[in-house]
Amino acid sequence: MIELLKSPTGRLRMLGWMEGTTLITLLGIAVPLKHLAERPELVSIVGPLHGLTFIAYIALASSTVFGGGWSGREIARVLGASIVPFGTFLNERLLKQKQEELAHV
Amino acid sequence: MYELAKATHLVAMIVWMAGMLLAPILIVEISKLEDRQAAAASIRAWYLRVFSPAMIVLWVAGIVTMTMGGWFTAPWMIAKLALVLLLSGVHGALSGQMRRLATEEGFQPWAFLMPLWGTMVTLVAIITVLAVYKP
Repeated sequence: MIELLKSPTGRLRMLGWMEGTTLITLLGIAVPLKHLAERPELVSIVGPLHGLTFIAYIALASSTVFGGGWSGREIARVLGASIVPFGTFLNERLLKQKQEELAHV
Repeated sequence: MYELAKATHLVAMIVWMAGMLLAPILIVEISKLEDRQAAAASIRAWYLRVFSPAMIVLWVAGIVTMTMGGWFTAPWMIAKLALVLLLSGVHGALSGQMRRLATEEGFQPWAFLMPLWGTMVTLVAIITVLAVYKP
């Protein structure tokens, strides 16, 4: 876990998991609870939390990919994934590969 | 609470934009220096310790203000959110430029940094008009 936080790409991977997990919690648990059980409390907590992780992901993704060592295609893929639901999970393999690649530069 | 959130949002916006508008100028000027890596590292530390937290505070206070004002689905708010999201992406990209300037020998920053500065001012003007007039 600490290793993950040492590089920008590692931090982006971690934030990607948080972004995806909060979205799953929001859509899979909080929203059904709100509409089926009339319990809106979880939406009011997880909704803003997901919003903040989403914004932080966009800022960190931009900082990471424009920080050098990324091709145009990889930049488009990482930034594109940030605006597609669950896109951060789809990019996990690429991010892990880049983290290892950039660690040896 | 609404007034406090709105005031916090405005203060954070002033601090964040100060950093955002200064960053391209500093990147261009520092790239001309002989000993530029130390200067770039120092400026980047400021950017990460002051201006990045200001962006987070701006978003938190903005979401609180928007929720309390009941504007979540208003078209002008959706447009404003999209533009601030775009600026947040630019914030990250500028941080990346600073990191490269601080760590890479001979790195040349983007040639379009000054046009980007003008674009940021235009975006802030549009965001301000949207927030004031709420069309």
